Amino acid sequence: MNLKRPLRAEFSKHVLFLSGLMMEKEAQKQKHAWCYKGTLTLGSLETSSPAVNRTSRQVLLSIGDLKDWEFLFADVATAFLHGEDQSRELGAVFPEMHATSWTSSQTP
Amino acid sequence: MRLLKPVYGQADAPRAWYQVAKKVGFSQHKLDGCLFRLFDSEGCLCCLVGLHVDDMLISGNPQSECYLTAKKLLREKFNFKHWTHTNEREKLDFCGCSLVKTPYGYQLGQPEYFSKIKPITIDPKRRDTAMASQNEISALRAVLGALQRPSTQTSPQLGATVSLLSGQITAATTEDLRDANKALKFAKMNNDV
Repeated sequence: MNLKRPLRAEFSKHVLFLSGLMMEKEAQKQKHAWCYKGTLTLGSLETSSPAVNRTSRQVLLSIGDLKDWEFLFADVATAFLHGEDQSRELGAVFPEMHATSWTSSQTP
Repeated sequence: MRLLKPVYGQADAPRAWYQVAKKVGFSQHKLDGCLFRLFDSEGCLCCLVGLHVDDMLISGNPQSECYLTAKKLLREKFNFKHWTHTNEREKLDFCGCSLVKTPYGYQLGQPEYFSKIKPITIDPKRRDTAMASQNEISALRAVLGALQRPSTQTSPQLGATVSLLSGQITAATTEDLRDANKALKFAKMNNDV
């Protein structure tokens, strides 16, 4: 296996790609990690996601306290996995598959 | 291997999650898309939910059937890592802010956050007018950057100092570094305001 440069492949119009074992050119340090380059060609993809602002938080606390309501703090586990299905075709090609061209029909 | 669901690290993953959270059945506030309300059959407000990515701050009327049903459905729909009630703990944490119930209401603070910020090391013998080195300017940026967030969240008393010092970063002197350290000390001493 050639570890001198990252193994990469593109397989969709919308992009994405990834490789298995990678080696950083500068550091020449072996990395055992999958790199999901999902940001390469975002184009017109909508990525904005708001978060509650300070005023709303204060309003929530004030109303809840004035009405003597209960308060709960909840943290959703693996929240992003609850998200909408992928709008793009994203995936990973294993190093040994790299030699052949990838098509969506090859996905399990 | 193909990704079917969004994963952490993807640029559009938070949006995909937000689209699902929006459709849970709560009514979204027109002025803040992350403040959700729930009204009972008579049109009375019975629950408010503040959403910060995967963190939720929920307040609801425990006597309302509508709220209790919604709470149950919410727990069934999502898998929660934490589900903490104010009665269970003295202090709740929401987005890095601690929330403590007092006889006068709820007190918000960030004591843990402040305790992690380290002051800039300055030689006590240095003159106030001496220019700061590049490393010191980086340290100043770090301290001011760290104080920026609480100044907009829980400690508005820091706003003016942080803003004025931020304007001095590129031509910072030892006096500015000392002022930043003073601001940090002040912030730590008054984090319960």
